[in-house]
Amino acid sequence: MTREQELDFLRSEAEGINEQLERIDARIKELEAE
Amino acid sequence: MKIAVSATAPSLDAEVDPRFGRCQYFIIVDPETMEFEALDNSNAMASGGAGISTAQMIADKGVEVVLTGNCGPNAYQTLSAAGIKVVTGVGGKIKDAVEAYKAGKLQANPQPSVGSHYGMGTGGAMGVGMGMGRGMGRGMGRGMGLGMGTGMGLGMMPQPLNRDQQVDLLRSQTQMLGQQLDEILRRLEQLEKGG
Repeated sequence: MTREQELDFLRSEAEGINEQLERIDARIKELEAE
Repeated sequence: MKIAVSATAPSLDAEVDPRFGRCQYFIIVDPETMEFEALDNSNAMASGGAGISTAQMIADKGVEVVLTGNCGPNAYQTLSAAGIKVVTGVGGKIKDAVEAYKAGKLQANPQPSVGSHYGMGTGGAMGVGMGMGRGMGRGMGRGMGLGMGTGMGLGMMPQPLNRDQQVDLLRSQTQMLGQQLDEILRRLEQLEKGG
């Protein structure tokens, strides 16, 4: 894997983790509001 | 009692898949009757978070024990938080693995057997640890989902987590993902500086 490919991969992973964190946060809020 | 085994095909005669989060199927077996349910693992091709999502799916099924080849830290922590025992280093046929567990020949592991991101990519050349640089493939979509309490029981009685357990599980996942993100950001910074 080239440096550029690794950068692309890591950026997309970071984006995916951020999305997942947002979903988890929303789900926690939903559960806490129940 | 229900045992989930990572599998290469949807049958008791299939081989144990060495990967947990990215295995193709799970066979959920009642060890007393050997009745089983085969589950497609929709997280097998996820680009990230497969271990956690798969562990949630298994927890939703009311499973007490997981038999698999390897289990990374995220999946291990999620399973442990749900009170599920994890037995790694398991191979051979599903039915033999279940028999071996029943006979007390297999013991639960006190810790994960591999690092994060084990099992990404295809074929046998799987990267181990946080070095995410080999054979990962891109554009695979991101089927993560939270899937809490939505198990589709087929003849067995799932025991979904209660609200507090779900919140605890989600908080521990937030912490794990935060750590992963920190590592990724560190590596990105290193690369961007030319390292």
